[in-house]
Amino acid sequence: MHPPSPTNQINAAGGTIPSNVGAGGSAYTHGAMDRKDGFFYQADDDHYVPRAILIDTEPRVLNNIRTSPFKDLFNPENFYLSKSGGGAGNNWAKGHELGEEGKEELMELINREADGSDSLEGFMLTHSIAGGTGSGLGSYLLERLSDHFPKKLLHTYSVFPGDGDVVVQPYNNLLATKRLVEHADSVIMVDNLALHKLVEDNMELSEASFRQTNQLVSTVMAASTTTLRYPGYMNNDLVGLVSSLIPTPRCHFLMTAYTPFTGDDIEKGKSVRRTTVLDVMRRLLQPKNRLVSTPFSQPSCYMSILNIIQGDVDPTDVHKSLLRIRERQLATFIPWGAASIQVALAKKSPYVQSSHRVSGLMIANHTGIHVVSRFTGLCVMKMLTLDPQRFSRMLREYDQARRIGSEVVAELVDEYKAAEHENYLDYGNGA
Amino acid sequence: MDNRAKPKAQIMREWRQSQGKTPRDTDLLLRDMLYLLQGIDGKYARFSRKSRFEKQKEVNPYLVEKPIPRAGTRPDKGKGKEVDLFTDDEEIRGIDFVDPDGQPHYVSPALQMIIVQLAELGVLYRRVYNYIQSKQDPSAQDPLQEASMIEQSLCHFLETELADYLRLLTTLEEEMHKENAVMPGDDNQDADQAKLPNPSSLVAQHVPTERSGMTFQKLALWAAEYILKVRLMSSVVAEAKKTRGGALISTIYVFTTHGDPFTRDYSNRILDEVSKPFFLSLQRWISSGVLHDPFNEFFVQVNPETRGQRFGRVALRDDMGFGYRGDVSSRNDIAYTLWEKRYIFRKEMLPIFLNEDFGKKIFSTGKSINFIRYGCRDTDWDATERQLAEVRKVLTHNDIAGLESTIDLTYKIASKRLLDIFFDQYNLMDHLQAIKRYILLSAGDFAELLHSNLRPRLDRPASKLLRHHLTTDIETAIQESNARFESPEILQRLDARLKPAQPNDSGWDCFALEYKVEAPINAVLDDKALASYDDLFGHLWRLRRVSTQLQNNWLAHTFAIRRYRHLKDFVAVWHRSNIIQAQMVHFMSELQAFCHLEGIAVPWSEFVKFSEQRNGDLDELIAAHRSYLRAMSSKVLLRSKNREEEALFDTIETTLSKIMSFAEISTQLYQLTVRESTRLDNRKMAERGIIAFSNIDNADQIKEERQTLDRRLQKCGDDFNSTLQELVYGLGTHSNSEVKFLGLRLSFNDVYAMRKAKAKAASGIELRNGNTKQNI
Repeated sequence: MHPPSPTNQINAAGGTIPSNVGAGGSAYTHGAMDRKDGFFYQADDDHYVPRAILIDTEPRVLNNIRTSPFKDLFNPENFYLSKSGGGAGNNWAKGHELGEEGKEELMELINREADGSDSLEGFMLTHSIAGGTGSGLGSYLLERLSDHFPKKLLHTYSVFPGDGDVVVQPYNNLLATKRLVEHADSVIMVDNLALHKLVEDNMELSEASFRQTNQLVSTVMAASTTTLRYPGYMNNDLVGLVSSLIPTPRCHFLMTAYTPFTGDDIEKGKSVRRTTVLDVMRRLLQPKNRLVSTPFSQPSCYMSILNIIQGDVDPTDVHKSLLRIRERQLATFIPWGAASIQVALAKKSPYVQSSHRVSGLMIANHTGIHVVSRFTGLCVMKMLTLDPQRFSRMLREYDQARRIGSEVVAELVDEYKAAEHENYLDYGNGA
Repeated sequence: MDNRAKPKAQIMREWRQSQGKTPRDTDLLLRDMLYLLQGIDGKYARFSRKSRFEKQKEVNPYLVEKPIPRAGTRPDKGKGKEVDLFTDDEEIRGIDFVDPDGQPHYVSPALQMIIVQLAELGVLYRRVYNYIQSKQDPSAQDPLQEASMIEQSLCHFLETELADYLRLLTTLEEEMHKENAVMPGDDNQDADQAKLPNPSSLVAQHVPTERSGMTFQKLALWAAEYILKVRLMSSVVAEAKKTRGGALISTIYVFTTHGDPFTRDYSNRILDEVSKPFFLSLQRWISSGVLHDPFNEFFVQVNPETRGQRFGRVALRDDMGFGYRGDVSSRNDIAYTLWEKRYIFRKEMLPIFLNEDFGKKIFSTGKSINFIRYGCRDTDWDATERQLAEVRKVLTHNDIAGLESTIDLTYKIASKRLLDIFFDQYNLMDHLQAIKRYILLSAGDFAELLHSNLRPRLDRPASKLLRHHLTTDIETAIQESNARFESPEILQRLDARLKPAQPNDSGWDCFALEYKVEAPINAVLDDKALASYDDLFGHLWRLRRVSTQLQNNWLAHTFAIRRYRHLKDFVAVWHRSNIIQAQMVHFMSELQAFCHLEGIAVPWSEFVKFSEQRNGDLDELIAAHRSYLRAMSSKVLLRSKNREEEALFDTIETTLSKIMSFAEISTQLYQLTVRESTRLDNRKMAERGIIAFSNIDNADQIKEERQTLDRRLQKCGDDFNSTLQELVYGLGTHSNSEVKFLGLRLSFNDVYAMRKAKAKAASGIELRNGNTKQNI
């Protein structure tokens, strides 16, 4: 029930959760509004410690956190750094290997946190799958966690890379995606390209910094857990949140959209925008607010949508907005079963000041998401012809995994495509 | 003698004598007239009565007259008036001009006319007098006959008026005697004039009399004013015999709108006097909430049903931790009864110068104050009383505008104070919010923990349930969820209740969560309201149970089967299972979202609006709460006036049981999958010679079971789909547009509507396809 969140701290997604939980690193008690024991345990009267494990193969990011305003927030014992401390060199295999090396220590950390939870519901893993640590060590953790905790949910926030700052990205992608397909239970995909584009569009910047993209990711992550932290009548646990989004085991890659997004720096300058629930829900369906950049092809459609609307919302507005969206047919849904926009209302965090009355996050299962994963599959072929000698360890792993890996990804793509058609019901028959 | 020498009058007299029509001396008749004016028979002029017998005879013409000693007992002298006084039974027909011995004598028609006209005054006087007597007669101590407040003041008024009248008669008599003594001599007339002003002098000047200054004409003039007065009094009296209290005031009020200014003014005077007790009651009622109305004349009355009940606040008994929290429920209705039932509004007793709405306002004002003082034991009553004292004015019927403004103000002060007490002192909104959170399960975290704590217990038969286990589980759920931040005042009211169990019931059928309230909050949360909440809880709790079951199912199987993907035979059946499951999950989440958003949150926000405005009185608060409950029931429980529409709720119930049976099938399927996997593993081991072949499950049997489960699954899915089509179709034509929206939610992408159309078009083909599928 209370998911500890071992976060695999890698590059783009570093140190995100706390910035939304509270500012300052102490004194989190604020009445009875939020439910802290989902992600925290209480160290003393007003100090809550997140059940988070921070893992990296090089010390830079971890050291940044240790000197940041959040240094007192985390349990210092929960920082894990690989012994070598030399990073994974953008190599999936290296990352995986480092995981294997630190196996005992890692599992001990995880077990300790799991034992400390009253009723453990699942794990949340935050990683990028571009570099070696996020993809390799992340994959390793996925394998171990699904093995050790088969009945617990494995929920990840996976940052998919934009086009190649690292040459072996597609390769890392493929191998990590395979684990995500087979071991994770729900994956919230965050596309780095979209992330930058969103930040740049919204803040009118020429180039988004890590800090800003991190802010966006953390905003989205925080929003996606509001219903867990501010319990409403539904979606108060991970299962409740995710079960309505994921119909079949393979189709568990979720996309998000968020609006309105504004950065800290310019927020004050902008006048308060009057956002209505309908505005928010309509914008969430627009491609420009998605955290996935790939344009979806025509037959693709929504399998499920969950809108988490935060703020002071009149319930009748939600009702009206749903009617309006249905009338205008702003969203296309699967033809083989009932699907709709589900709306969860959640309180706004009292800790975060915002100029918007209403903000919204959409988590959706969209058949078009396969474009993102297919991209990774195709590129592997290209990469392979580039420099086979340099990545011998990788190659060996790839040779083993190629068949299964690309098969798994191909199956995923195939199923998502099948889900666009009415005869998806017979998909299992091999039709 | 030649008649010519005689005066005409003498000729007349003589002629009359010769005809036997000797007129009596006018003075004698004048003296008798004074008696007649008091309703007493005179010596030469008597009232002609219609006896009881005659009256009966009118009804029954065959009645034989019994010799009644009427004539014999009639005394010769008018002085025996006690016997002579007519009662109300008798009807006066006119005046008989007879001598004391019963011989009629002649009276000129003109004089007769005057006497008869004047005698009316006597009749009316007697009627009024009798009425007063009957009301004041200490011997007639029939409590029902006892004079009420309004009658008392009416009597008082009438008495004063009659005294005036008698005074007039006395003066007249005096005058008459004086004149008689002095005889025609006019010397003293001036002195008399000083005593008796206008009429007598008028008469004296213009009507020459024979011997006295008094004539019938004078008398008629004197009495003229009184005729009107006494007529009015008498008709008031006649009304007073029929009606009472406020209704009487209404009748009198009608006279005050009379066109004749004299009648108008006079009846106003009557009304002034008569309405005094009414306004006194009104004053007390609206300023202190006390019903001062010993004779049930006010338009607010104590309800005879609740008379004798004791009203007061019931304290919540401490349960000493034994889970027994007092039998509040048995006395639950007290505040509600105090407010709703203790006083009743009697429209017929409302004076017509107050319209009904206004009367209702007054009714409510007093009730509010009464409730504040006796139902709530308001600590700050003094302040309210001071406020009320400021607007207090003398209330009369003449100043309707002032009355209205005073009452408006009082109404506002009292109602606002009462609502403030409910909202601020007794934290009504906190209670309702708590009920919404915990009974209506809006606090999802609490509901979920409670559910998971209770599940193992409730799965067992109802007879095995122990109440203290349930209360412990509630306590645990509170401690682990955010409910622990709630004030203990609220938490101690949450309690488990076990409904009486039928032999085969499981714990789920008997468990209910309840919220205890005591006076005065139970004026709003009365038994009926709590019963509605109970119904709502029952359904929402069931939804919670089904959805949790489904989610557990999702969690247990959806991803676990990834391990068994190598079992190719199972891939298709699991896919089918997943798709059905997805549809069910969708149904459940939409249904729950609808129940909580449209069903509860929307009516709640409307109710919150009321609580913020605090317009109106406690009645309106109760009404607002009831409409909040009604709105919830109509959407969550699909309560409707229409039978067919209510039947949709059964369709939902059917769907829920389909989901439960699906969960069962899917669990069996999972177990079978594990068995198959074990079988394959074992076969491998057996091939390697590690274990004996005999330990291996029969492949055919598993295959058969799989096919059976597949068929069941398919059936379950089809049933679910068709039930849902039916439901969506039914909701589509629902009269309540908000309930209609549930249909849209469930079929947001129109899948059920399309399917229904398709199913109609090609039901035959589908059937064949289904058969072929099974053979694969």
